[in-house]
Amino acid sequence: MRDLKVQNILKQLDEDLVPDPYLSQKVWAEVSSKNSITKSYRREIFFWRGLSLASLGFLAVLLIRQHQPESVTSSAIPVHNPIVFHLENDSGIAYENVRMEMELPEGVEFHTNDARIAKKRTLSLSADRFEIGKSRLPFVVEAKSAGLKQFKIHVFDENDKLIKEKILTIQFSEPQKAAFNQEKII
Amino acid sequence: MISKNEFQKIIEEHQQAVLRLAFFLTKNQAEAKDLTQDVFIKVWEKWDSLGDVTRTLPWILKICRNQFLDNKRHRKYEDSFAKESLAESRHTLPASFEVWSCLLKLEEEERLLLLLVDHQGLSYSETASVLKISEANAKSKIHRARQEFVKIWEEAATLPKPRAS
Repeated sequence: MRDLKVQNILKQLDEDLVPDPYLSQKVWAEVSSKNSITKSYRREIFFWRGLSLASLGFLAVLLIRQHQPESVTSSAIPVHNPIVFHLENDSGIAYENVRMEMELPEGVEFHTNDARIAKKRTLSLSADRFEIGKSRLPFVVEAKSAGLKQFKIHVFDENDKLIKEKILTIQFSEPQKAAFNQEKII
Repeated sequence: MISKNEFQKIIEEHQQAVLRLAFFLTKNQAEAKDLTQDVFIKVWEKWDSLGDVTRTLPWILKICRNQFLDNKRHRKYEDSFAKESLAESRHTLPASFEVWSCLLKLEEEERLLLLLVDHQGLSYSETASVLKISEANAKSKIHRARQEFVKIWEEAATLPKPRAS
């Protein structure tokens, strides 16, 4: 009887726990990346770990990148491959209730099974906490055509005030022309 | 190697169970979602080492616990659901706040036993394998955990409810 009573009480726990609707896409994109991304490509992806919500962290990233064409990937990324954008808060300041927004260029879609989301040009995702040193994988995208594409990222605080705006340019190529090939797979 | 479709089915089937355990461990919804993602990436990597497919869920939950312990070693989880911040968590856990308040008065292992056996429906042997304890130990501890939980629950029910602000 006691275990039935406990079971009935614990049923209430599920009401507040809603799984991430994009979990499957994010995990698949991540494992695909692990299977097919070259070391140099991974370095480019990890540029996004430097995208910071606070100016100190953000300036540090800009300084590092001044030696290369600003915010442009050095090696081409093949089209039709999901790309995971890592965002890491390395600012030393923890934020709450932030909103991250990505605006896509032409020829790029959000990687998802949901056709409505895939057709969106801008996607906003909220995070109740964005702690120091924690990375998140909020956006998964896939280029449908080759060329130079510009991605716009906006980060807003809990009062919907723009904290940071960032534009990243990525070169996408057809698979056979891309900078990496199967032999380079990690 | 598991196919993409099979893997997506595994995620759909078990994500709620993993999220529950992740939340029990991290006590924070955002951390729990991140941990759930880490777990399924690990599931993909380790899939070939799963011996018995009928024990997929306990195997995944074991990965979840190990991943949590591993993350905890490498980065400090913020215990945002600590007892002192319970009052602030009321709005994020409207339906289960009272249950959580009582569960947090138990030891972590007792909470996990209740979750795995009485909430997830795992057998004693599966639970024991997730928690890395003996089956006999799991049986005796769950009995004690249930008694303790019901006692706390009933005591809480007799207390006056705080007025909504």
